[in-house]
Amino acid sequence: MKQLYALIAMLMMASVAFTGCVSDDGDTTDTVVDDTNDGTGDGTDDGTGDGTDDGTDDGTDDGTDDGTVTPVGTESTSTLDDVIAAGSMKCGVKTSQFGMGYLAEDGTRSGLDIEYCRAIAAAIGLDPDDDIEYVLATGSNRFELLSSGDIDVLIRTTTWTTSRDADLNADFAGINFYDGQGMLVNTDAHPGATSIMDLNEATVCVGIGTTTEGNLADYFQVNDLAYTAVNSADADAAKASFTNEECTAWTGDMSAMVAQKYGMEQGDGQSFTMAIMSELMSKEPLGAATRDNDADWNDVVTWVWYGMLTAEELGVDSTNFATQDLSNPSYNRLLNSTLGLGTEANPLAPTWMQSVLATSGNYYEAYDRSFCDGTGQMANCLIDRAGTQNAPHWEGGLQYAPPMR
Amino acid sequence: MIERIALILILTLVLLPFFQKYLSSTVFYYISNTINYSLFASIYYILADSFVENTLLNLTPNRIQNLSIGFNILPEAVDLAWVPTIILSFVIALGFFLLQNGNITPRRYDLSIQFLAILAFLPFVLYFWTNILYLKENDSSWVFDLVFMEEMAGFTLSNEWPFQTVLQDTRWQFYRVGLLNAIRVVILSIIGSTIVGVLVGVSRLSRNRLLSSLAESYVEFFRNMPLVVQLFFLYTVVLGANLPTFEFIQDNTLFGWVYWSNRGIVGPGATIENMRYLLAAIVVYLGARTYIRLTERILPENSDRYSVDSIGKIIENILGEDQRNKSRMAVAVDIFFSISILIVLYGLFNIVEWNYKISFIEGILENDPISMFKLGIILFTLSALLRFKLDDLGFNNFTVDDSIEGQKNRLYLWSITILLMFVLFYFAILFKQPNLITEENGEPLGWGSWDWKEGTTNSISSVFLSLWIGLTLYTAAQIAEIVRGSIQSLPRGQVEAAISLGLSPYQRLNLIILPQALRSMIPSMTNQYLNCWKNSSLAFVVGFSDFYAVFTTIVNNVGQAVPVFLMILATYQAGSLTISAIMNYINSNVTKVKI
Repeated sequence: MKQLYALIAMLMMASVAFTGCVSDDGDTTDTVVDDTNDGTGDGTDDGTGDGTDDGTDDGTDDGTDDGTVTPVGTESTSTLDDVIAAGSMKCGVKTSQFGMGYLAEDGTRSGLDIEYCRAIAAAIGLDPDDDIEYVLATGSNRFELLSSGDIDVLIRTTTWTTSRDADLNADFAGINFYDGQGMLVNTDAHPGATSIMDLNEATVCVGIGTTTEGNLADYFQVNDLAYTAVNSADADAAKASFTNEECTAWTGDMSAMVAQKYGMEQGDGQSFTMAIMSELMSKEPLGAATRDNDADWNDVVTWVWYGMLTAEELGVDSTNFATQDLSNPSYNRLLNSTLGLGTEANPLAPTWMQSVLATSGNYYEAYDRSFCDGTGQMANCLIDRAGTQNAPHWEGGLQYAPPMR
Repeated sequence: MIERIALILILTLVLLPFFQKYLSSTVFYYISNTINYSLFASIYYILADSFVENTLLNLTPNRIQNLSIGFNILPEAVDLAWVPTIILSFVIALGFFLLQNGNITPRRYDLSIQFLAILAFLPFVLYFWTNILYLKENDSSWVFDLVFMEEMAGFTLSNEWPFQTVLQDTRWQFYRVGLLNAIRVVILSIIGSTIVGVLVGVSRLSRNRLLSSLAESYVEFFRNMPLVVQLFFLYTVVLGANLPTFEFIQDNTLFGWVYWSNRGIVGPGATIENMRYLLAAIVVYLGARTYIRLTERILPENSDRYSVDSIGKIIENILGEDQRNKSRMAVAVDIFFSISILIVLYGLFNIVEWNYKISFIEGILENDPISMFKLGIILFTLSALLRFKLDDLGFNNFTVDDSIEGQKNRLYLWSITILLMFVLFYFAILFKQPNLITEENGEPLGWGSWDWKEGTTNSISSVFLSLWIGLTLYTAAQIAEIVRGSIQSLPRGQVEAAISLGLSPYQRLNLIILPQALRSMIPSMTNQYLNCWKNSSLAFVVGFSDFYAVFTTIVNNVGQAVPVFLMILATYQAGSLTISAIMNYINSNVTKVKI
């Protein structure tokens, strides 16, 4: 008998190992079975999209969970169905950048990314306060988190680039912030510096594995400037190097640099003066990303954002959406129709935009809460909206929603 | 369904002993056996079912293009996967049952067990295999080709030495720089941690209470804290916040030759002015060394040392009985060894940049430094192995002339050698004082733009320092415990015998204790060295560009996680195996002598 039990133990380990090895986006195998199950009304009972036969559920749960949550492939289930079945959405966010994704000391989260995430949850009928599971995504592990199914949507100041869209297992959705790469400079070390051209021979802190790293190298080479890079594992490490004056400049997304400068100036013991250089070194459209070949889910994520923009355009906000005149067809389409979003199994509720507006409001309100004092006046903003690329298109900005019809 | 059966079976198995007294022993035996094997079959079914099903699914037409098994499995058959699974479970359970309860020879028993085990693992292995085939065709990140490594990397590295990368370099070149970075820091950490570890380990056993408790607190402090935390603390607080900033670098100097700041240490720049003089200095040293070995070598006696392996026998057969031949052979190998060192150094000193284009043979013909370096390394390895072999055969036995005359001769020889080398070095190498540029066109620059004049410095960055110190201190704490344990495991009599011989404490340690303790120390030391190599992957915490950091950046840029992680795996394996091989060689040398 000993041999038997040893064999069982080995088999268990083998099954876990084998599923672990090929799981990360493997088990499209479930899809066919899923279809048959749906037909017989069996469905996905435990909500992880794990719809294999009754018999296999308990036995292989440990091993196949990862795999079955993240079906990838042309005929796979949509993440939307999985999320609704699970009753919770996993959002990959940042925790350290005020204005985009920030976790305050009292445990509350704020920022444009968080607003976006909450809006998506509201649109698909989840409770934005309880049903969102925030996962900290770092610069170097975010796409692995996404493709392994540890997160459902990545909203973490992620720049939309060709190679990311083509090579990585990621499709980009709404662009919630048009950013550029900025440079924060220790002006004690570089007195009078206002432009990057003044920064020859500077020592620059830059995050490892970010697009900023490549842009920095390009920009300095093109302008024939010399520099020394200090590679930092994350924003905290970079901040430590910058405050220790190991590096005299720090480059990153402009929104992040503004937020960091603000944070450091608020903190005490800052021994040097800082300034932000005038140039934007690159285009950084920051957007949400979903897994490849997950069109229905990607559509929902995209159009939640466009919905918020359209609401701003129509003048609908969180306070007045209930009292709009629905005889106007464009208001009616916005507030009372699915417009075909969702999957066959889980279409969005016709009032999805009302839920979004009740949760995050329109883009104006979300921006106001994230970057300004939240009074609805766009006052005391960390980054002013007017005159930047994030202004609505009728004011000359880039925030433009395709027609919602 | 099947889970319920399994549960009921488990329940019966638990309850069965209570009914034992009501049953005859034969009946009880049969019942418990049946339950055991059915339980096994049902658990096996639960485990294997989805694997069988998914394997069948992978084998259906149009699923995997490159796989033809000669027949097709209809999609409908996938729903019937429980049939083969049940048959499989039944066969395996029955097989085991028959094996346990039949009369069978040990050989057949072993064979049958192996056959059944293979059968049991079949669904899992098949699933693994077919699914990888499937993923390779359907998911770009599972494609195992390394084309992306030829593309331009487009990021920057820190701490490049000896080769510099430029923006246009391929990812292979970045990988090479990262690999060299990791190897450099690990070798230095291993050396450092061995020295610190042995000192601390011996100190822990000291009778001096202050010393031993200091050593103990060091060990407890460093081994109880995660290495990541130590590295981060070291980098940001100890070096980053405590050392003066670059602004005050002019005040923090050692006679204008060495400067330090929280960016690291800057030392004098050295350039080779005249390669010939440099090589001549090395020739002088190697010549003196060979000459001394020549004069001190004694003819191998026909002693009781016989060669045991074939290479040794071949060498002895060729050389014949004449002892002078053996001596000549040893001299020849010495000269060969010296020449190989010379070639290595020649190649190393001449490398300006890595030439990727040239092939090895072509490179040697065209005197390309890299190829010469590689050739030198090959020759060096060969001659070192040959020399070890001759050591084994007893060709390299030396005697030291202790007479006044002999000591005088040696003193003269070494004095002349060293003097000559100094003179040659003086003409060969030009040291330059670090020269800080603080102004441009007569206008003072902000300290952020200060720069060292090209070629006047050699620097060690704070990133490298913190990783090196961190790895060293952490590994040393573990090594200290190994050293202490090994020393304590020696019989007390050894020390007492040494004392009664009148050896001084240092002689006791050096001649009696450590050589014996080494025998038990080295296997555990190997582990620590391997840990040091693996822990070097934490380099990214301090922003040091080792190959792991390079690869994570590459994954982030191209998303080819599978091939990249296979390369990481292969690189760590290769490094670990190299360390193990070296340590095993040392171990075999240490344990050769029987106590």
